[in-house]
Amino acid sequence: MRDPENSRAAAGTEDNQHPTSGGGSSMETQAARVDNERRGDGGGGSQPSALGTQHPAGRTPAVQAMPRAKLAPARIEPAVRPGEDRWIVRFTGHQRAQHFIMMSSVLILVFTGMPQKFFDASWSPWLINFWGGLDRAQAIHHMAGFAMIFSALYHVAYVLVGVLVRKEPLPVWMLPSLKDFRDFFQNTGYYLGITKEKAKFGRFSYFEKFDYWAVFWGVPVMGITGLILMFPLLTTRFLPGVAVPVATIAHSDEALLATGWLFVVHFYNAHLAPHIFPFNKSIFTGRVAETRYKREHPLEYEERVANQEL
Amino acid sequence: MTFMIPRRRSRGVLVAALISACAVLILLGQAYARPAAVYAAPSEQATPMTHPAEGRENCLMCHDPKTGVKPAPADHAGRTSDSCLACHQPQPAAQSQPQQGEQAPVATPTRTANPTQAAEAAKVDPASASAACRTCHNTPEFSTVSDLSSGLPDTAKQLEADHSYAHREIACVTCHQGDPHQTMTPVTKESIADACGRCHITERQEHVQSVHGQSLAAGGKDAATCIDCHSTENTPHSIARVLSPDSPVYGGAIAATCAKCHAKTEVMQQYGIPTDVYKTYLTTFHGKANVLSPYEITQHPKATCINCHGYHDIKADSDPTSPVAPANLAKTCAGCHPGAGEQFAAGWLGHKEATPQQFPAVYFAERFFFFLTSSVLTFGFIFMVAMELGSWILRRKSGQH
Repeated sequence: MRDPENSRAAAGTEDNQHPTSGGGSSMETQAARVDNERRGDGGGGSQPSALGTQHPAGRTPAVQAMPRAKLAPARIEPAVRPGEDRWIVRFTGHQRAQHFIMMSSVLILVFTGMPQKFFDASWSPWLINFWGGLDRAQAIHHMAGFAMIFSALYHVAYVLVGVLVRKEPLPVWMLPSLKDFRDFFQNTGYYLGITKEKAKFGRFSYFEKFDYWAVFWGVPVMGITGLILMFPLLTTRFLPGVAVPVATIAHSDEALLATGWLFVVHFYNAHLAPHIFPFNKSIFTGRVAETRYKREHPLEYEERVANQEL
Repeated sequence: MTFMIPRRRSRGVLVAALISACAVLILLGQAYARPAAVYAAPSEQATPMTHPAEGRENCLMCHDPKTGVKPAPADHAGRTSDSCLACHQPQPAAQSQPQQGEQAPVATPTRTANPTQAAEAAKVDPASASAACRTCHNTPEFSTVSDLSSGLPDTAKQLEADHSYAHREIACVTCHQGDPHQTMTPVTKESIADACGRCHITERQEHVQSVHGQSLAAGGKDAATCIDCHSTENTPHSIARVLSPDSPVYGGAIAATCAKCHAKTEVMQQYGIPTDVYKTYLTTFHGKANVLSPYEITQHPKATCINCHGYHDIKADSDPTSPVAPANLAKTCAGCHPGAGEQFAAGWLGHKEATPQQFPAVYFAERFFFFLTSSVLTFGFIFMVAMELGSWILRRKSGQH
């Protein structure tokens, strides 16, 4: 049921290719779609033949009108089964890889580092022995630290290549804006019962931006202090000796901050919030169900529909 | 076949020989199992044995009229051990225990003997000398007496049983020289160090020059002597081998052993020594590593107190010859961290807490990150999680969802 011509057309302008068929979208069928944002993406089930034959070249103008395709894609993928939501591809393969490397390295860093920070806790020897002893835990911690630094550099390089080499527009939608502060106060007012409605977000909400920019503080602090602690002899050849105890404090406290934030705030916003619970796969699959996209990022959705990007 | 004995005679001889052999065997067995049975009944004058006979076949080891610790009367001279039981019969076990209120003969051990001679005789064979000592010092009743008289628990039995004790093969008289019942009392920290130093000459020489040894020499009662660090039960009898994991000076245990005294405020205050040294050590890299990793051969050595401060020749940190004196610190660090310089050593806070005066950079980094972590986490927990979730629950209850 594949439409090779359409797939090739999509491949020419977008990364994060899925071997998807069809690609035709029609607004009139949206009303019939059920709210299935909690459903899995099904792993590519059978495709209804009706979709495959719809508007074989219908997307071409939309693809051409997508100015920020690489760094901020929003590409429609058809529903897995008839009657289900369509998918909107939100993250590129690079972005998903960056998140995956950072996520796995930070998880390993937390579970090898925390028993060293809380060395006298009851669970700490258990966790150290799980890794095969302190020396092994430290070696794994060091390797995961390099992986985390790599993922951060990977992301910076990825954005720089996109902007400087591929001449894409600056990713201004990632920058904090006045609207984010207004949204924050509006939401806080809503929680307190002062304002009637929750804020409507564009491509990224204020809490998503906070998580994103926190990494630009956290990774340099953790990475640099970690390298100081890893190479104290080299460090004290260039820096005063007090850099080592300062790095110890910074590394230890910032680790607690990052862990607390990730495991509570980030996990809540990404997975545990009532309308998402229990798990949100979109950063791993790259896709978000259309109904949910419309609700979580209404301003971007409307803008893209108006621009005929979707 | 020419040597074959005629049948009729041979049968009678064989039967007679068998019967007599059995009789001899039975008699010998009787004599061996219950020696008293083959001797005449004891005379009324004979002193009854106050201890069981088992394991003490060599009566003369203790009761030799000339050299015994508890000598037999002089007219017993020349008698051998196998004849004692003829008159002195062992009492039943129940009677050998001293009754409450009853004057048990064993409770008043005679010290009129000549233990010096016993020790001299014992020196010939230290192993049998120790066995001689233990004939008395292993019995529960005698141990009690020993406790009362010397103030030291008698761990001779334990010494023998526990193979981790380093001196289990060393004869008692090696340390308890001269009159073993007199010379070691009163036991002082210094007399113990001197006794150990008769063999461990270098260690004692270093200890004499150390801050501990000099404090003891000056009449101090708190400074460490050998057993304070090397003994599991603070007695010279329970010295454990240094490389044994049971030893208080083993790598994984030495810091806690030092802390036995150095974390005691009431003791350390007299000498102006800070008492949070152990606490601050534990929060450093070295201390955490020591807590988290059992001190195994396959792992990197983790620095403990002794790696920086030294051990037998340990000096006060104010002493310019101490390895932790400011001038020597970098060299001491370089012992484990090759290439460590002055700045590397300056990164060590020296068991001190960071204050604005002592280590301002560390202090303000601590304050800054404490403020940052607590405020950002509080902000996130309240404004991004708790309020969102709380309002969702409230609105759901009131039917707004």
